[in-house]
Amino acid sequence: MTEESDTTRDPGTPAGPGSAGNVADLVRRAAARAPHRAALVTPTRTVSWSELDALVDRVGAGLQGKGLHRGDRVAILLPNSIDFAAAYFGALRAGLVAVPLNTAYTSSEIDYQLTDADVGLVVTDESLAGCVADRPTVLVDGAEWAAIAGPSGAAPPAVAAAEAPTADAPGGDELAVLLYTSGTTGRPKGAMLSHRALLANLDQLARIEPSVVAPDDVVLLVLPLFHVYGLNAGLGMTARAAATGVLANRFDPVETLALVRDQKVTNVIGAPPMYVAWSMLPGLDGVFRGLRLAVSGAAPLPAAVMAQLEEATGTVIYEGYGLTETAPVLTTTLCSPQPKPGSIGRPIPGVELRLLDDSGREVDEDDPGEIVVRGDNVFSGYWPDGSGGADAEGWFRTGDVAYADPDGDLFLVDRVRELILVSGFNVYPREVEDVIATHPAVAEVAVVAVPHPYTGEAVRALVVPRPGAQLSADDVIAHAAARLARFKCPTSVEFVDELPHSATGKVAKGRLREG
Amino acid sequence: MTTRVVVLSKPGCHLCADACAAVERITAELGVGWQEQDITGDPELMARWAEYVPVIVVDGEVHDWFRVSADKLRAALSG
Repeated sequence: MTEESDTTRDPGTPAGPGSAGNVADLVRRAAARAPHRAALVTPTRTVSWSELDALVDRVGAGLQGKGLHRGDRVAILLPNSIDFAAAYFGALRAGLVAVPLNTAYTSSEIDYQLTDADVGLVVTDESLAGCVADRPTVLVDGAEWAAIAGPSGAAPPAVAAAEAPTADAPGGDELAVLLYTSGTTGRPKGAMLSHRALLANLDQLARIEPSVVAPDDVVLLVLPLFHVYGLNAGLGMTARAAATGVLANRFDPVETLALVRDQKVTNVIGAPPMYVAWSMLPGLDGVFRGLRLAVSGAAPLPAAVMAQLEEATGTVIYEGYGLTETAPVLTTTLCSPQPKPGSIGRPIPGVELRLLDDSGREVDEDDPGEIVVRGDNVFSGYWPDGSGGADAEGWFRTGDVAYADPDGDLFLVDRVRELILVSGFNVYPREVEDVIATHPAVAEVAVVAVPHPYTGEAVRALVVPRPGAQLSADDVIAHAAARLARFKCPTSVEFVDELPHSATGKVAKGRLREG
Repeated sequence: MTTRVVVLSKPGCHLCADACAAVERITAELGVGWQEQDITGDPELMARWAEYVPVIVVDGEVHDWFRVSADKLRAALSG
């Protein structure tokens, strides 16, 4: 890796990217500041910031050459890779809207999102292309992509964001990314994130002291880039700082730990399942000693795991909290004078946060309230009409409940919505229930969360079989597995004679969880 | 009083001020000397530690950075 002298020490100062620009400007600026520094590293290929910037130009132009126009949607269905980053930044530089798709989804789930977003093109690879049959695709392992992205590829896109953004350059409040997140009704909804919202969250993160990502850092990018946390807090922050990102497309405790050691990773942007798995390994101390900063997000990190890792390695894991709808980070223990186990810390600079009771009044100290936030990082509502976004004053209700201790440190207590968090991925019980209920031998079903040592929570189905029907747990799981992504499938099935119901006839989930 | 603790710092760093206050308190408790060292004049220290300040050095070895854990520092100084 080439070391550069980098005079712009703090990328968060006013000289840094303005929130009015284009997210792909981050790559252009990194190429200007540290042209020869490794931008992204994979086992088979490394690109410098200047190489990535040129690649982003060619991909942007190539996507326009496919007949896509400003504002059109381009889906990205790829594992973590340089091609993912090139497709993402390339689409944004060309004024297109990126729609990253979860590679664990089934064809029917992907099809719903492609139709809903009216996607014009899917950038994918041969192994995943089967999930998007009948759609226009570009395969990153095919000849067409080689012609687009190769060294003799196309000239920069016609509407590329310029060094000094002009009024006409794509960016600002224009839609940059559509990220599907399951709604309470079960059907996924596209959260509309503008260039402004994505850049605002990066600017907010850059105001945290100590630096979340600094120019000399080597950042582990193992969380999926199709998830807002890996995409913006990971890849986006790495580009903003012109640091180096080490890409991995699956987490294996031993292999990933070796990667951290061999690539001299300084920053781990992780999620609880990673730290849980690592906490069970010997020899952590030597590897963790090389880390400057380890953060955890996407789901609550068990306090015991945090304590165990700190005991074994002396490394503090800083926990954060955020949402797809807020691009994503809202709070972190980096903003607390002392990170407390189990706490999500305090709001990051530029995020206003209130805890409100049912009547919309601020709660008293120690009382739980719904987290309501305001900041430039808040999304523009759900696709396509912008519904469900912030209110007229800019406040967005997160649906999550927390309390603040006397010091002002926040603790999550519950989700107003009943979602189940499996390895940080949202599973909406209603969607799973709807699928299981289509099995002919199922009379009624309720899906609840059960604690799971590795994934945080797992899905359990409580099933009332039809009288006289033959039904095994395997039948139920197989039925779900054929129709849902694996992380949404129940890992256990319990047969019951009946389910408790509320006065309105809905299954009383609260009573199920108590039982 | 022997100087066993050095706090590497930079001007305008609020975590450094917090760290110095904590180190001052704990070293006074234990009767141990400490000093603050501004690294901005030292290119070598800047290159290695600029993004880690405040860095707490105990007996010549890096002990911790960013925030001072009182228990951890007491343990290191008592050991």
